Amino acid sequence: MGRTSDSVSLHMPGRFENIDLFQYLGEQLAELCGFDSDGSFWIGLSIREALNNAILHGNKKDASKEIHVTFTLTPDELEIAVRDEGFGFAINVVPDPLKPNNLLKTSGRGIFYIKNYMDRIDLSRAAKEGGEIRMSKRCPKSARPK
Amino acid sequence: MKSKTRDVGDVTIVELTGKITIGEGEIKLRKDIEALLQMGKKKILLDLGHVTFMDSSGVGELVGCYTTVKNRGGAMRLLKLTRKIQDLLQITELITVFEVFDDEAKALESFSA
Repeated sequence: MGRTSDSVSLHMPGRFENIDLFQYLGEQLAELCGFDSDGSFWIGLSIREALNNAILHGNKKDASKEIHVTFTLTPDELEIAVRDEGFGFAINVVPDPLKPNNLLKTSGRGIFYIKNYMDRIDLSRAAKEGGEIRMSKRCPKSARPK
Repeated sequence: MKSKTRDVGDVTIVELTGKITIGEGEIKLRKDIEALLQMGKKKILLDLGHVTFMDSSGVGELVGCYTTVKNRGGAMRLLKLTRKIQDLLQITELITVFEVFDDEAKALESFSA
């Protein structure tokens, strides 16, 4: 029987100093999937940006609220889901950082970086479950795990 | 993030080491630049050659410092971007905003032009 998918779910208190571990885990999983160092970097950065948003905007920096991260590895792709325990945020209210009026703003680039690299990004908000960013990237053909 | 400053003529070179991310480094960078401005140092060259990682908050802080220095009548330029930091600035078109140099001597010369 062919392999379907493997998932690992972790959760952390919503504090910025906890992000490094999840970035590292994501980078290691990316390497396992055959991504090169650039790919691993961008996956790690995407995870970091999603966690930044979850802590800052989702949980409103309330460290008593947790962040839940699920890494799912299928034969074709690596998917990462980051869920807050707050209210999430709406992707359509994130301003375009490339617009001239926004170019010199000091924030608003995190989602842009994720969208730039990941193949798919979905944001959802649920009153009780919090907000979730789900993003995925196809694994390189040459090294898809069997 | 750690920083070390040195003056070459009327230009202050700030060598940054480590990560500039949310909750780590971004606030220190802002404070370091503010301290230099308060000392009257308005020609600032940020050496990013030993910055190992930057997220969007770090990029935002670079932008914030650039704007602050410019608004106070000064100039801030960047030196020795790693390829990944260059990519981060390129993708968000900030590479067109900053003056970026690979060579310190040329960077210093640019402040006199």
